[in-house]
Amino acid sequence: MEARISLKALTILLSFLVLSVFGFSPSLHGQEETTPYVPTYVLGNQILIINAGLFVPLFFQSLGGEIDNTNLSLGGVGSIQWSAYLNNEMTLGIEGGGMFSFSPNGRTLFMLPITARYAYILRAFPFEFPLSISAGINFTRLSSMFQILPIVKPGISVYWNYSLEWAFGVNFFYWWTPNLYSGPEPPKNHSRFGNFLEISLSALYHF
Amino acid sequence: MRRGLDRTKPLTDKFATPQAHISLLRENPCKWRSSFLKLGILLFLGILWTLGCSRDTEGIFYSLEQEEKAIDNSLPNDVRITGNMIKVTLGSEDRYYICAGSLFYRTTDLADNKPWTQIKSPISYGIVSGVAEVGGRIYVSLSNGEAHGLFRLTPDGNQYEPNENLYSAKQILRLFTLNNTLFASVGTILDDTFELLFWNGTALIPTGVHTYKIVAGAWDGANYWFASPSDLFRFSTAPSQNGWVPTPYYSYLSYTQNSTSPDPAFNGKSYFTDLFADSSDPTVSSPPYPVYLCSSDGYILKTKDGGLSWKTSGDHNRSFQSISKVKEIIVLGAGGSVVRELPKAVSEDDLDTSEAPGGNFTRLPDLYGSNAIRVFGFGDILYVGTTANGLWRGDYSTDPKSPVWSQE
Repeated sequence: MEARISLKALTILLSFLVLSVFGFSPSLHGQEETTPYVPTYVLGNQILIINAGLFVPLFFQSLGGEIDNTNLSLGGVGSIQWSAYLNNEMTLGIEGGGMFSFSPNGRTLFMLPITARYAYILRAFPFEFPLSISAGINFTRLSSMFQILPIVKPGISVYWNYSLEWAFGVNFFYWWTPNLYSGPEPPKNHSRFGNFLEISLSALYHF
Repeated sequence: MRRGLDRTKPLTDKFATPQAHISLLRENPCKWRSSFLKLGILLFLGILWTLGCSRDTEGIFYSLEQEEKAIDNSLPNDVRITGNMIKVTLGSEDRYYICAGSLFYRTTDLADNKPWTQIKSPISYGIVSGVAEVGGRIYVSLSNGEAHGLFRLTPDGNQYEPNENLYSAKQILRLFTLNNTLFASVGTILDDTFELLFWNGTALIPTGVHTYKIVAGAWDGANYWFASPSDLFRFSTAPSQNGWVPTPYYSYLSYTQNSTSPDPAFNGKSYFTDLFADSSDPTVSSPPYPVYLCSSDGYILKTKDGGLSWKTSGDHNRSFQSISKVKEIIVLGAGGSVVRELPKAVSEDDLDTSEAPGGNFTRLPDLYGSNAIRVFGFGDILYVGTTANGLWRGDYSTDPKSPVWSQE
């Protein structure tokens, strides 16, 4: 009998522990309120985001449409982004960051994009799903070669709001960066569209 | 401390009072829009400016797409090739020796998978400037800036003979073996006492050619040819002590002063860097064999009659540093990341048609992007020595149009 009571108590205790661990989402489980509090953002609210993660080279595409391997290794990526809310669903800001990846013989490709970023935010509180698109310039270096390329980065993110100020999430950004030439050197047939995928973890701060 | 939402805070938190924010930030909304507009315009102009703006010779992504992993032998990859390369037979073994800072050797048969072996220098931090074989013995010139000398390897070719510096008076710049005679170009630019010496069997003695910095030599079967940056020498007699009168066959100085040259092809030419005598030219049955001369201002000259007449190329606009032959193709190495083949130079005396090597050459950026200061042809095999990326091997045996390149 005592053992059965102890088991019941242990079960209740564990349940509390589990709830306390997973049940601390902001405003969802207010002890005095049953209605969750969902923050609303307006023009002028700002966010600062730091991203870091993996850079996945996908493929190069020629002007004729042929697809070929990038021959690049899995790389690293990081960025910092500032945005301001236009209204509760939309943000506009700028982003700067960089990536690195290695060629088969150890050459390092660096790309440092600076982009303007627009995002439309879908919500299922405490989660947010910003659909974003960035466009800007991309400082690209490989060995002694250097060029400033245009870049477009559409993507989707998933954020979990930890508090009013902080949210954490994961990003999937597609990097599309044309590397175009008109000749004679480099010749036009060296033109390629670079296609890459950024998978990064993100920390977001509202202020 | 947990940082979840606190029901006691929202009413005082700025995020919880959107109306207050609206009033605050709507005080000057035009400022925001104006800033974003300016930013957008700047980015758009930046994108337009960058399109088609490149000083590179190849596309960045294209270069990556074409790249392949280099097959790599055991010679260090980040070395400068500091001298020449020879192929010798020692006993029953054929070997290559290469000056790559230190002296390295390996067997010529790649199938045996033997590595390159470094021979410990008799001078601390000695840099090898030349290697040559005479009478079955291998001679090596070394210098570390202060100490220098001519050394000989033991008969097995595996190490230096101990405590035997054969010549230490001046720094040796180059070693050549021409017509089974060892020549040494010695001197430094500091004291301007350049001299051409030859090995008489026991010592290096003067040929009589002095004050000229000899950078290359060739033997066409009848004549000895030597090049300094602005002069070309031809000697038809065997070397003897001070037996050669140092009167240039062609002198850039004489041309500029007196407009004299042995052939109009030479007019105004200088910056000579290398000579190559082609003793295997199928169109020439007996000496003198064709001699090629290249210059760092982009010209190639050729004679097939011992210097009676010359043919010159146009300006290739390349800084040619070295010339050799692989298969039936004359090959040049140049500064500025260039190796060029002259596919018609042997058969048609065409010195103007040039092309980059084929095969996987363009897939190896550490090869095609390097300064190819030395080229060494050994039958079907071409070696390319670079300033910073070691030695590369091109195997032309299967298909000269598509050699297989690998790194040593």
